Amino acid sequence: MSNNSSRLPAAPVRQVDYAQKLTFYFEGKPVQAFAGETVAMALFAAGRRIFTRSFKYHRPRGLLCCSGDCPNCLMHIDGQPNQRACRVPVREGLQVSAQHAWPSLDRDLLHVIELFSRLMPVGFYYKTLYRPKFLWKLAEPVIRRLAGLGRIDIHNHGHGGYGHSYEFTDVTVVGGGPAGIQAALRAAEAGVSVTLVDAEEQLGGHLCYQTIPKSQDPYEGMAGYEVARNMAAAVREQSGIRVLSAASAVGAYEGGLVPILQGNTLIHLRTKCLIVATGCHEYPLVFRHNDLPGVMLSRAALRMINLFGILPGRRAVVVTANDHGYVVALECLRSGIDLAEVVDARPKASNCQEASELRGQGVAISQGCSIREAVGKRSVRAARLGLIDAKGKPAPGPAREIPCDLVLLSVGWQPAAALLSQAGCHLEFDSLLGQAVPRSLSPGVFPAGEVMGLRDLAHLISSGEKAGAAAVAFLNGQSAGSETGKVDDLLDRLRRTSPAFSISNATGQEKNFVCWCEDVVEKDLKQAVVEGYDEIETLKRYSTVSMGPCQGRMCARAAAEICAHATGKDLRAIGTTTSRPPLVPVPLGALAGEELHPIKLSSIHYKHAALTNQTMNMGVWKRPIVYTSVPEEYDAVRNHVGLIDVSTLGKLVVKGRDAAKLLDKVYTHWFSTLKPGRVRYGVICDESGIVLDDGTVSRLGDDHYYITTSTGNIDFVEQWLKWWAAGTGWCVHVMNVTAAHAALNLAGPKARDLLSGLTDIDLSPTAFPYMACKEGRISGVPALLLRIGFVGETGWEIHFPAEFGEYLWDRLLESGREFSCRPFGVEAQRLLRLEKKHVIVGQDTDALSNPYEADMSWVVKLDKADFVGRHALASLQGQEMRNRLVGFCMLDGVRPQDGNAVVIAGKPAGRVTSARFSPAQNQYVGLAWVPVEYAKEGIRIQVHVDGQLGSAAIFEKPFYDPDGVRLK
Amino acid sequence: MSEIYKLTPIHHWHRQHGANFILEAGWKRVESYGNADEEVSWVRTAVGICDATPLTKIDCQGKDLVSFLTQILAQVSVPEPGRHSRGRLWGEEVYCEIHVARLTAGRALVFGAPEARDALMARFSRSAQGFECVHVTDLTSAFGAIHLAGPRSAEVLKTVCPLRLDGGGLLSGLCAQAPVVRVNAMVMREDLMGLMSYLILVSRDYGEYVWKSLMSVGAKHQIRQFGLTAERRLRRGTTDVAAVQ
Repeated sequence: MSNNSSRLPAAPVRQVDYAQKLTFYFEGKPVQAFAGETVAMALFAAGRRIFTRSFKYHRPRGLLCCSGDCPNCLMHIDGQPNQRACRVPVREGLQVSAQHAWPSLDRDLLHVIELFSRLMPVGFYYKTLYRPKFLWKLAEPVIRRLAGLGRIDIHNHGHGGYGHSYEFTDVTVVGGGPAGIQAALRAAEAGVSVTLVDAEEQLGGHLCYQTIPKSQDPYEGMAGYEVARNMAAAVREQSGIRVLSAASAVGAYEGGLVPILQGNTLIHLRTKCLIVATGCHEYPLVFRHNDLPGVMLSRAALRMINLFGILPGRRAVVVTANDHGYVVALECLRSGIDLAEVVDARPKASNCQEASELRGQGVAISQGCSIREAVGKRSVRAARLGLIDAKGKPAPGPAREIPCDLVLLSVGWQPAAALLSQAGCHLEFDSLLGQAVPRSLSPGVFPAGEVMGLRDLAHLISSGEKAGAAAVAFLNGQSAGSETGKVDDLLDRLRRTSPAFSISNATGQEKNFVCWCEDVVEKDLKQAVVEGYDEIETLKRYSTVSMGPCQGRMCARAAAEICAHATGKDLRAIGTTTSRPPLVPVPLGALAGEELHPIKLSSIHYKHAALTNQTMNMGVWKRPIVYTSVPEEYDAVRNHVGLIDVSTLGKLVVKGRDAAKLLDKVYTHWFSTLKPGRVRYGVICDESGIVLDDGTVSRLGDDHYYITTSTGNIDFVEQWLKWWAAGTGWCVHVMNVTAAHAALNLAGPKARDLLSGLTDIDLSPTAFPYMACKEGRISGVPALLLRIGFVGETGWEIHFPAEFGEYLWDRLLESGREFSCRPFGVEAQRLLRLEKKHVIVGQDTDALSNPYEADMSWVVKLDKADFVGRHALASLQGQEMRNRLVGFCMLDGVRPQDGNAVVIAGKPAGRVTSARFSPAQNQYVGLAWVPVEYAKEGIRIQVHVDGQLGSAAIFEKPFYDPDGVRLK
Repeated sequence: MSEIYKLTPIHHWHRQHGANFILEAGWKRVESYGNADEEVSWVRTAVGICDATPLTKIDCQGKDLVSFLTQILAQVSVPEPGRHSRGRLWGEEVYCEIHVARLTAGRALVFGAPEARDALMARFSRSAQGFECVHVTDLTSAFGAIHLAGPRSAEVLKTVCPLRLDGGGLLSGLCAQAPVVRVNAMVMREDLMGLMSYLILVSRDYGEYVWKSLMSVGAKHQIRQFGLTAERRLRRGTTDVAAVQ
């Protein structure tokens, strides 16, 4: 790790700051680096050649693409697994470690798995581990441990910093290469807002690492990186362009949504027009041992040499099928690499300028020749070369072995067209060009540059110009014109100059890798086709090819070609797999964004918090469970007076001339007959008669009702009422006032005495009877008082503006001191209501409960001509019930719990919905669903509790104050 | 017996952060968090957040909404849906500045000074009786109101709200309903003397959560809280609900 001899001297093309030295740590050992380098580059410069171990066979893998596409440099960086080391810039103190290797990356003993590779053909776990059944349970954890990617540290929550942002733009250009830049400039010049998204820190795309001067106007004589810098400067000077650098488009969704991942921020970008200038991915060749460290894509070598000043090897063989291979070869030669040979798959010699220069310098160039094997164990030691036939397949004849430590592949590209596909564009394989090209475009979506199959700089810029103009025309409501035809002309020229070649030179049954991510070799795919997976989509699912971290960037093209060969179809018929978001790995933290957990607090929350820390989450609310102890709080309510905050109750105001009509329609009970100043219990059912919610309805005026609902159902009830009012033409308005009103329930035999001292309202039983309501003032606070009794004692539910919450809570408790008033929590409330057999909808009822079975038949008024659920309930009335909700009292002290099974004649026959110890009965009591024939007073049932059976008797009446005397 | 008082849903946060309170229209309001001058200058250069919950808020709904508003707001033009406008309410005993936000064709929210609550509600209720289908409800207690102001306020808001806030989006004079920090909200843009400013209305019980969340996401934009004194100084020279009262 101390070998720094692969570094080149400083040069203008570099993005490295040699003045700033940094130290980071790999496996705990310090590594020297320079600012601007990535982790992978610094490690390579320090002598590392193996960066990861393969998914299945633990084969050594080295740098392949150096552009974040392949899986060959996945590492654990700063606590996060699966980071591509070639994309992560070095920072001082960064902690880096290998993943998926044991005990170390260089000496991975798990490599022994490869010895058993014949036992692990494609889909082996479908074929071999399903019988006997327990085998898979044993094998699965072992497979998961041995295979797979990095491991998430579930105890480390320290990364944070994730967030979302919402942005809008007229035109989004994805890809900051020459085509993307030109498209952005052209659109911005027309005065529209442009967002230019690029994965790199610097704009310019592949030009950034080209040093050979261009021959075309207006950039004649300029190196690629100089062109890139000129274009980037033009972007900076042009107003209206916002550049999102080091950012990636995640996908294309309806409504012009193009999410962008930039660092830890997920930007929800809405765009009117999308220009896709995402370029292309260079793909590797399939040959024997093509995964050895030292086999590298040509663009990776260019990036290493020019951007980072690092030599990818000492002696190279360049394998090509196009003129770009000669550019790479020349750059290698100029950087000091010993160029052993250039092998060109094309039978005819290239007449490009770079080829001539190489010939002039005496470099060996072989035509109609390609690589058959990379030789070596842990890295490339030699390349075995041989002739190929017209179809690109190995021709008869011996192979030559050329010693080298670097094999550079420049055999072809596939368009990075996933974003186009997701945006609804249709791509079609062009057999002459050897890649898919866009054929039909969606409105407002335009391709530009290499993604269209173009290569030449002038053509790239021209296509960007046209895409920018087309976007502006689209925004102005005009047609994009006939630009597509002009692009086709360019492609035709390209077809003539760069015909496609087979990308598989493989023979035999060897390790010819197609998918680097999942360790899928050529014979796996052929075997899968033999087994019937002869469609590209099913082949993908069965073999897992293209399902790994590269998402097909390295392997999709080769897999399609192998499938085509194996099935005898052409590539056009094979097609491509469906591209789905996300296009780049998105951390779950970025999807989640800021740690925001909506929470509702009652206006009295801080008073509760001062008295107790025992709170419970009830949906989004926080409620106190108990303040002191349940028995004390129970005693206060039953014998003195208790106070509970019931602000979480849903509250609705229904106003309008037709308010009564709406309530009669939605509730099972009558509400048009309810007199102003009176309260009535109400139940809402759905069309099939199932209980949805319950609560109270108070009539405050002829056209004015005040409704309470259960805490969790308020949003539903509000929408339900509005739904049934919609389209009726009725004059009725529903307003959710849950947050507007705090609510307190003051209950107990001394509640009247306490409250009388704080209000002028006549609270006597005759003036203010049970189920009445009045508006007035309590301690000066305007309030609505409901005389109701959920807990079974004389009491009032006081509803008042929430801003007075703490004030009135304090006043009531202060005044209540002389009456031994105590606050009581949810637990005491549940016990108190259970003794009265008051049902909690959702807890004691479920999605099959109707009012008859839930012992609420008295709320169903079939004398109403119509209400929601009437038809179903009328039918049910004539039928025999199957189950009923009943009370029960334990007989033997066994403590039942919510959800316990009711056992009758030794078989489960029902379930307990609520159970508590009742001081009134001095025994455990509860509510339970039982078969209707057992729902009779005194019938014995059993309750299954923790493996034992307890005896209980059915109670038809409430457990406490069965005649309701105390309520009145 | 202690004097009656009203608290906003964010009161305890203010108290924990050194607020100086004053009693206004029964509300305990934050006068400042120590130095109103600093608060003003901070809001003018970065972004500030202020609790505006005490504003009176009256909901008006119904088929006859436009006729009703046209009559009652004799000196104010009825804004189009999605817009809001300021003006004065004339007639009878009530004379005050109001602010009307038209949420939909049939619904508007009318804002007024905290101390005008009872008078406004009485006036609106009385006038509504003359219309077949208009209903007014006092929703002052239903909403927490948060004022986000300063040149960087949009930068904070756009991290938690999907509304378009730039050129083609929520400009001054517009209002919209959208989630803010994942809860339903109404957002109004009303600049103060050219200073970017948003009024965010959320369900009162979410008030503290929304406030804390905005403080959290706004931390990287150096968000700071400011009080009533700073808010009035920022408004000075404009039509000012609070100041006119």
